[in-house]
Amino acid sequence: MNKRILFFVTIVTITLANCSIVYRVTGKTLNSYAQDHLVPHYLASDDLDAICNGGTALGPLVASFERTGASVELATMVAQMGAGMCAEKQAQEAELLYIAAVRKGKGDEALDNQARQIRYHGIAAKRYGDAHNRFIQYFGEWNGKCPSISEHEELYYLVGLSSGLLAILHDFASQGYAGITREVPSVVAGGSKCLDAKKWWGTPLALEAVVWLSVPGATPDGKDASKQMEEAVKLGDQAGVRMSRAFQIQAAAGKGDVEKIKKLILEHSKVLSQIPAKKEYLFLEAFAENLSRHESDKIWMKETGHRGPINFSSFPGKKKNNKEEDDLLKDL
Amino acid sequence: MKKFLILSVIILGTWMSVGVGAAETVDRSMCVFDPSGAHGDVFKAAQRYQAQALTWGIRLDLKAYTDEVVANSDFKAGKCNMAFLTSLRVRGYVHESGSIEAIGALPSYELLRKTIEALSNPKVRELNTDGDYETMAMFPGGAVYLLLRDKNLKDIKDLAGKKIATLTYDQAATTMVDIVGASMVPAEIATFAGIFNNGRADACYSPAIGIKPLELMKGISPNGGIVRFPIGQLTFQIVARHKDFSEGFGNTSRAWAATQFDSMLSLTKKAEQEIPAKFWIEVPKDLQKNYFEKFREVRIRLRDKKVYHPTILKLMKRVRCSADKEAAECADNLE
Repeated sequence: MNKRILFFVTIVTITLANCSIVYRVTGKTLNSYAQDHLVPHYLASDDLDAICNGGTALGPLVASFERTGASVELATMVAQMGAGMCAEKQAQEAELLYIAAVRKGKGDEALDNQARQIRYHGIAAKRYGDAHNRFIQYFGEWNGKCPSISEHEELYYLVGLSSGLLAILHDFASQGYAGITREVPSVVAGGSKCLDAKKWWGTPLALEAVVWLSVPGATPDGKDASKQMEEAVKLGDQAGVRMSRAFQIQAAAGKGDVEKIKKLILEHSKVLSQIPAKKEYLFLEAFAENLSRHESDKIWMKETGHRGPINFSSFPGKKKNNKEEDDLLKDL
Repeated sequence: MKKFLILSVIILGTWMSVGVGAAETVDRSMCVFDPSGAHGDVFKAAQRYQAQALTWGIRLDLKAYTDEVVANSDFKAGKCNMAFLTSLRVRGYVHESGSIEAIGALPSYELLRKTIEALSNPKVRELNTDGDYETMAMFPGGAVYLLLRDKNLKDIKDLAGKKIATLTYDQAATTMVDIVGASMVPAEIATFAGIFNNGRADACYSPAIGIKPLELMKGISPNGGIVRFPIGQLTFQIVARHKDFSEGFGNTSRAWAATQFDSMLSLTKKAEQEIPAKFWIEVPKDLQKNYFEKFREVRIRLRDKKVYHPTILKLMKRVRCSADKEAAECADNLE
């Protein structure tokens, strides 16, 4: 009898040990697969919904391999970034419905949609915040010095910084619900110097400038945030990856300058038809476009009660040059 | 009891729809020409117009036609209150607005936009009305380009003696063929692509949006190209009997339509971008002048034949001269 028990215990122990090895190997394989194939595949797709749903669905699975001892920070970071976008889209939708309800004078509807918007901003902040934490886990705490980053890791470094910025912006919008640490802006601003701005389509410059524009007193002496943003936008336009435009519009939206926002959105729309997008990074293009489209829709919803054109190429009630038109029509 | 309940629901439903409908909206109908029928881009634009018209108190019933002749005759017969047609047909109702497509008159989309915006100004409502009819909206449909089987024909003078696939009902094109000394191969929308691709014509004309679906690349390859100089601007217009609509409707409608310029043009621009650069034939400045002069000759001849309306030609000339004050034509008074 005792022999049988011993045999059983031995078998279970061996199996468990094997399983744990198998799981860890699977975790490592998954992580390297994600880095080598899944992420590049994601980045080349312009289907934001598929990526956000993929992130929400696969994120917990990928993250669970951490329990087996496998290092899955980078794969989890990208999945959480995608998941954050899902919540962000929901927040955008609720915001549009809120604006529509205000326009219609429906108080209850407005308050309810505003409450939904705040909740989704909170969820987005948590997910982007988690992505940013994975970035810190992988690259180490920011201590004012750039970590050693291999060429292969640079993109992940950029994604990690971007997710930090998005986390803090959404946390502001959710009235601090996600409790993102207020150190994040300085990590983003500092870390952005570790990447070559030209190589990464101006995005590092844009990240730094958004922090300067969003945090009072953050702009160092002798620096001009708006000018730096312009430079970033130029680099992004040339490269066909217009993330900088998305951040520029976010910064303008934060300031509430509607005329400036309109101008920037129209510029974004125009450049899309002039310079083709870089095929390997269509996802980032789609992300940037979505932000411009949302800002455009907000203006349309407020002014007309409905969303604007899909390519955000115009605004209602554009003032025309009346003098020139009068000259054209004189004595006809 | 059940029957009573159903009856109550029906009565309530009818009362509600009549109540709401009668108080807020008027029912009207629109015949819509789209070569692809209800799945096409023009029909989609008509649906956007339909949604917008609701905010002006008009509930439009849309009917799709794949044949413009039928759409046109149904509108003429009073089967619909308004019609979404090409400017070529609208010219038959509103001489002025239908003349906006005049050959070579608007060489760029910016000039077309300016003209449409100017015509949407409430001060010139009469330029959109003619007898019982009124043009309620104008949308860009894309520039029409000349397609060649042999790219060496890029100067318009080279077309003398060549065969051009020409739509027989297109008076401007037939006049053009006549003026350049080419010969006409009679064609229809359904047949011109085949004629060009098979080599029975040396040239044809089409907006960029037609090039891929009609496989016109077959005719262009390997030695031909597309002349980057718009022959004319195709436009889609909504024409209506104005007595069927309230007094200010036309002004409101035209002002809104003018704001749709960019979104209506986005597919055209995409189609133009998709054409490989090697197929575009750039026309040097001095040769452009030849094109321009020939086109002007056609416009003046067609104006004298009362095909094009003189006021619209004058407006378009002003638009051109506002963009390029130095142009030679700005000093004379021919248009």
